[in-house]
Amino acid sequence: MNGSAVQVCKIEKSYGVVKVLTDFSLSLEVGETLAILGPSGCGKTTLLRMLAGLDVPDDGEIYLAGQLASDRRVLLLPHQRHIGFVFQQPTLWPHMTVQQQLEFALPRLRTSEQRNWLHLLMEKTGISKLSQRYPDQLSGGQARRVAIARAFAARPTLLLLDEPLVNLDLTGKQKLLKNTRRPA
Amino acid sequence: MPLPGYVITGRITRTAFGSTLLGSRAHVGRRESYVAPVVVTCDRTQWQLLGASLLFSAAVAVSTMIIGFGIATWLAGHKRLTWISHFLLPVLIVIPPYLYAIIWASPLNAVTIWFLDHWIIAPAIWGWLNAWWTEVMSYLPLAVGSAIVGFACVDPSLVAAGRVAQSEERVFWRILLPLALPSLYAGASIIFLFSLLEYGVPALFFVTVYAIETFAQFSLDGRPGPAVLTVLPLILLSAGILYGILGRVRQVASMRMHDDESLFLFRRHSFGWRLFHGVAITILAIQVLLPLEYLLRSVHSPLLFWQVATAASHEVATTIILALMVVLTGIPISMFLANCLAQPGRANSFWWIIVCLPLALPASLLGISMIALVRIPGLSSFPQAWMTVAGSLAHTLPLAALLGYVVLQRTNRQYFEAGSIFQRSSLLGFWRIWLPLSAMGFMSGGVLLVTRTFGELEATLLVVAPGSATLMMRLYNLLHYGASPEVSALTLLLMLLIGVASLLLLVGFILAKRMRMNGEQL
Repeated sequence: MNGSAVQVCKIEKSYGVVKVLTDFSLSLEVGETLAILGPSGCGKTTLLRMLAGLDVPDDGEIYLAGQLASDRRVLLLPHQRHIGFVFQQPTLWPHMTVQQQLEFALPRLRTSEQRNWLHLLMEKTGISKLSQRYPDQLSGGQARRVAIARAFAARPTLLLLDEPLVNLDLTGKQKLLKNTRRPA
Repeated sequence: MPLPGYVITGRITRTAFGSTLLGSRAHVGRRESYVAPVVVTCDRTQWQLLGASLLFSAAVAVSTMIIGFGIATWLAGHKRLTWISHFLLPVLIVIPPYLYAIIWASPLNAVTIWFLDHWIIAPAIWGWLNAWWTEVMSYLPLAVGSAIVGFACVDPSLVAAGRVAQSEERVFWRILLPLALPSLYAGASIIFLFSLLEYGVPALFFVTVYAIETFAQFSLDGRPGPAVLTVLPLILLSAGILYGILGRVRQVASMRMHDDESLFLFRRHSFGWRLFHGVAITILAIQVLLPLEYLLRSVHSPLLFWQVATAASHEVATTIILALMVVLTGIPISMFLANCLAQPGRANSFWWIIVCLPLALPASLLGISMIALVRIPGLSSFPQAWMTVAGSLAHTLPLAALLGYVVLQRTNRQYFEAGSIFQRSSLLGFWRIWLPLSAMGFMSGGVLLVTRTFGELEATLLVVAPGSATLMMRLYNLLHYGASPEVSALTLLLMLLIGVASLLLLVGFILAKRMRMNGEQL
């Protein structure tokens, strides 16, 4: 396989009798951004979940950075794929504060480096003041921003965003689109 | 080859074959070939016994659910009494049926004697009536719990939408009740199954049920083959019922729990409802207060309690050690099994069968299977202490695993998925995400394992090593001589141990809540 960031080859996926994806392929180069649009139930989320390794294609292969990640099995575990994922729902862990959520997703760094990166991340996403709050103390927009910050925290090589602009106000949307291209 | 020990029979275990076993200790040390050909014929008496047992269990399940339903709906209208459902019911649920039987034996005997003296009802029916009442009492907390869970699973907005158009009673019958039905059905089926496989309670009231057949058959010749064949109709029936229950359990597990809003719907009741509630609550009060009053009265003094507790110190220590061994072994296994059950895909069908199969087997058959296992050359060196642990685990481990499964199902699956993406290693993900989110289920499972071990008798009785009797066995042996202050004191002691274990669970829940671990799973 070539050195594309993502290479999806003829994948198929069904849930029972419902075929969600049939003979689907795509290729994405490093630094490229791809938006997938379509009606509800057309398989957008399923595709992202398979890229993340949360679901397995019934047929076909997925390559990440030239490496075979999935065929009919998951070959690379989700946390080994160096991806960031923003789910449709914020899915913040209820037993962790905002800061703990980000710390959990951080890569292994020296303490000072980790602190700086965390500080920068929270500042960029506008959640510095929320660091000690728990998910149930956040509004919908704030929770969404935390989820986005968490996806960036691991410094992923591939960022998967599933309807990321839901619950964000106009300024938040503009900030996110700007930062997604040039995070920190 | 050392054999696993002894069978301690009940006071009277009359089998359908007409045999009577009266000895208190029947040695089963005779070595038999476990591959010997087996021919068992089911005679008419046996089929009649199976029919009677089915009717008995159905009567227990239906009447328990009706009373439980009444209590749950009454509690729904009394928000200040939620401590009953949050604290009292869980404590009552974990008390084993056999303990209820011991508690109720004397009051019921007194009533029976009075009725027999006055020739009001034929003596033959009294054993069944006493066993029915005791089982209803022991499964009542489970029935109330399943009704409460059923109502809590109903989306309050659906009820609110109904109330706009219809009267409260109509909304209750047409919306709330049908939506709560899966949990009610699951509760009734579980009670039916437990009652069908349980023989300790009926045996105490001199009633022979089909579940005892396997025990009796094995005691006759020490061969597991005929025992298995004898109990085969029961196993097939239980497996069928289990299949029905599991669908409902999965359905309930996938439903979101709501605040009790929908429960506090009905404030204006008709006379019929008030009467129904009155009867149900009176039964609940009797269930809690009367046996406790009887036990405390018959123990006489704290000194007697202390003397009895001291005399049973060896059994208490054995029971506690056994319970610890069961928990340490059972929690990791139940975690593994719950995780396997929660995995999507067809592969989990295999795990469902593995987990649920022991529930379809009478406890005594599990004990017999273990004896048969250690007779196999090569397995005979299996330590006997672990046989007792395995005996205690056999019936409770599936329940602990199912409890863990329900909690995993109720927790947003995306939390785990997000964890699997952002974790640095699988171990860290397990420690920081999986464990805190599922801790409630496994803590509850742990307490269930402990309390059921305290009360387990039927399986461990068959496999326990000589000289390692548990508190429950001491109690059981003492019962041969009828109810006494000593029996009451030991029962209180056992209840105290169960109470302490339940209290620990409650403290754990409160701490977990404070640590904000409850999230969406409660």
